[in-house]
Amino acid sequence: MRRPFDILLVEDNPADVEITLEAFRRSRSGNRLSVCRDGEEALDYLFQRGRYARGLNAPRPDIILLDLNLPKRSGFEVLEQIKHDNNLCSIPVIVVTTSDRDEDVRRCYRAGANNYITKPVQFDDCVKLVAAIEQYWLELSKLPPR
Amino acid sequence: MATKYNIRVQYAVWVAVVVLGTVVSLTSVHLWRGIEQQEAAVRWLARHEARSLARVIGPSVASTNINTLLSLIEQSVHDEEVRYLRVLDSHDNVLYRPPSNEEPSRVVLVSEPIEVMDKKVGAVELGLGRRRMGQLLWATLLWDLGIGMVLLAVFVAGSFLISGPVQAGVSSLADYVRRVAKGEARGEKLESDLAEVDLAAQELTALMERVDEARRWLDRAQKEMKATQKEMDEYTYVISHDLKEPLRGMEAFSKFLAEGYRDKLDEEGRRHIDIIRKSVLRMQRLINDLLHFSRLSQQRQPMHPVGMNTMLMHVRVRLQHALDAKNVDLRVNKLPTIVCDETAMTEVFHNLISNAIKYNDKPHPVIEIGCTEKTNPETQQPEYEFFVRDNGMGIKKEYFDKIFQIFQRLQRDEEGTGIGLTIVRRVIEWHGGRIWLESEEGKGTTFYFTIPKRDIAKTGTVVEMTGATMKGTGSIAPTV
Repeated sequence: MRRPFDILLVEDNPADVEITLEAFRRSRSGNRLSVCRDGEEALDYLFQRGRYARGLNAPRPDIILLDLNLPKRSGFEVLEQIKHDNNLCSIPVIVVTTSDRDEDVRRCYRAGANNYITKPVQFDDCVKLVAAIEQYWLELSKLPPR
Repeated sequence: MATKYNIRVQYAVWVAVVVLGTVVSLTSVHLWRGIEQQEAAVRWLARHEARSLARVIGPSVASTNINTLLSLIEQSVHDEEVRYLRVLDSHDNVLYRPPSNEEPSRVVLVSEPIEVMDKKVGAVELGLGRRRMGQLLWATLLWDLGIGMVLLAVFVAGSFLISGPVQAGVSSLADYVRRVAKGEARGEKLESDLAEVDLAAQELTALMERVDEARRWLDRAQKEMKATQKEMDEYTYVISHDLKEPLRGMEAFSKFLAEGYRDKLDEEGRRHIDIIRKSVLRMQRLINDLLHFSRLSQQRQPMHPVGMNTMLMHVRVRLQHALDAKNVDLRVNKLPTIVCDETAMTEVFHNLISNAIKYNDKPHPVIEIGCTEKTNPETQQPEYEFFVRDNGMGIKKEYFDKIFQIFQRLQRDEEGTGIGLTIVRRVIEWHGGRIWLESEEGKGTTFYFTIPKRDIAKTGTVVEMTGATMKGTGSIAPTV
């Protein structure tokens, strides 16, 4: 049996966090989900500093689900920092956001996002989306080795 | 007047007429005066000749010696112009009269007494012909007319020369006006020797400045309006996105409630949750429509020629299910190729046709689509007038305006939000057209809309139409 994957969710809206957690719960894949509530925290987590110094409770994620509209540091800034870091840039980043503006989409892909998804409104669609992400990114795709 | 001659010709003709008139009248006066003078001169001559004759023939008349008289007369009268001659005695008996005498009325006739020793013994009547007089008058006439012709030539040539600068001034002004009107003479100044032309040019410059000012103002207003419109669309977009976020929470958690707590709720509680979930769905549709609406305005596609019949084939395919469900007869006449935003125009027909399907209560619904080419009554430009006609339930006249307003519906139904016709009007207006309808309750509705006819060959990648996004009634013609 394969090891569970580590997924980092960067999302500030508590309702959305809970919805995503519930959707993952329902997929019963057993993957581990860590949550960061703003851009600053996400960077602390990824670079293992501040609260996450010495790697406590901060396993390197296999994939990152990133919202764009975040307090303190925007999701876009987080994306840029990740993709500019030699170590982190190999982690697939899936932007999951409400915006479906052409310019946001273009900007994210240009900054190195691996995927761009607009958040569905219906919970059923969220469940389907989570299942699809897990199937495509975690089962079918070959991820970079840790 | 069919032809208008230029100022120089008009000038020359007028001068010629005036000079000719003057010459003719002066010549007439001259001749009239000449006749009197000449007659007096001839009379004096006649009197002179009569007197000298009277002196010569005096003795022979006194002695009534006819033979001597005859020979004396023959010797003395050499003048061929003497056309009338009579010698009378003291009792007015005619002593001599040649047979070749003219009528007295045709000669200048004088009568001189014949006196011998201060006693009147008879009279000489002598008439001179008018030939000499005519010759003199003829000379006068020729002389006068000769001078007249010279004067005429001098004046006409003079006027032609003098009007030259005037004509040049007026022509340059006309040329200047033409170039100003075309926009070529921007900032140029017209130099002229004529004060009037200068003045007119100055007035024109002032007028153009006012026109420019007005145009700048219009441009500014239009830009502001566009910016406002853009801002509005931006707001609509952002707001509808922000509205989606709480909606997601409501959707998910009402679902969790409905699923996880259904057993713990009574009938009333379950009904309330269902209402919440239905409202969420409706809210979601509204927001999606609003987003769609703002996206349509924000992300305009370049205009290009699109065959309307082909487009309607695609629309028919998309609506096939609804058409079959109601057994609708969709008749599409021959339609032209128009320059438009294809996506947006597809939406126009889709919305109009699906409305016509939805609001039809007849057993055999018929929808007819056609187009005629017309002339815009305001701009006089050619345009296409499309119609979408149905035999549905019709619309009351008081709702004719209301149906185009956002989220206005005349019937409650689960699916519709009432944005379809708002989109239709928006799209038609940004294409520079107008939309209106005719309807009779129970009989059907016809929607009409116009699209300006654009030269398909001239179509570039983007046809920019200004002002057409303005909301409200009426159309704005595309600016040149």
